[in-house]
Amino acid sequence: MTDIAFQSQARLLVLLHAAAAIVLVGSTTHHFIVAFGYARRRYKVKLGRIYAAIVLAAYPATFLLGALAYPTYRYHVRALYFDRHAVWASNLFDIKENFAALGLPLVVGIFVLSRIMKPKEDRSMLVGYVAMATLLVAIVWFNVVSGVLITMERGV
Amino acid sequence: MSQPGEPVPASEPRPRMSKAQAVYVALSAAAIAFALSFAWPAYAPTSVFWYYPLERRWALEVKPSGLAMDWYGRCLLSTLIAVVAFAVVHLVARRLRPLTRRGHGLWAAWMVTAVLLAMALYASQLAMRNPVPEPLPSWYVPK
Repeated sequence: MTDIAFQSQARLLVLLHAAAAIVLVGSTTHHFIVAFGYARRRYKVKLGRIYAAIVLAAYPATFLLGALAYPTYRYHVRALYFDRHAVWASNLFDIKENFAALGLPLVVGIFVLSRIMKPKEDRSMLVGYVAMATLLVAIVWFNVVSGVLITMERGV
Repeated sequence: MSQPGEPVPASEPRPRMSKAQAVYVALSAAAIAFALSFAWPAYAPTSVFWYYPLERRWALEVKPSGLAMDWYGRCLLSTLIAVVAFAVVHLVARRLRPLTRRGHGLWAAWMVTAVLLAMALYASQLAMRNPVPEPLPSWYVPK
């Protein structure tokens, strides 16, 4: 057998990864709706700040839990199964992991801007804020749907 | 105070970018730097840290010699570059003139373009990839 880091905890890690992803998809979607509301002159600033803070906690948690389970996936799932029997899942996972990394600076950007920006007065700053929120919600939804599809094919 | 259209007297300080605007520009620059540096190894061969899960070791190299993962290394590299970009741009931006509405829009457009370019590059390279499967070990039992 193999001695891969966190192999014995991999199933628990993926379960927690999924739980954190549930929080993440909810908070990111709600945050996007609030940010989009700013553009339509509906200012729920306090709510926007709360969701941005939840995203800041949930995204790195989801990311870290996935990163810890990744070595087990890489050998036992991808190398021994997906690369042989389900190439689409192998490729989709790699696309998902790269998209997830690209979301990291957006999470930080959204949190910081939600704290310093005054949506009523800083209308010109809104364009960047809404752009970050839109990219992030797209990445999170793509990754959640991809993650479910991949795990339906085979898990750790 | 000078009126609009009048030349600014030498003694009057030149208007500078506000703290919030400087942070906005620096965050946009950091996101751009992260996206481009993350995509770069997929475009041109670059030395990054590879993790060998079966051997539990790290190696700084362009191409791996066995089953290895470069995702951690690319994440680390891009995070470092993004942090440096944030610090440098924030420092410089504080000395520049206030950002116009168009400037805000341009930074947002560059940021979106950089992230979408990186996503498109990885999606196009990986969607049609044909990975070479690892040989099955003797203990392997198909589920």
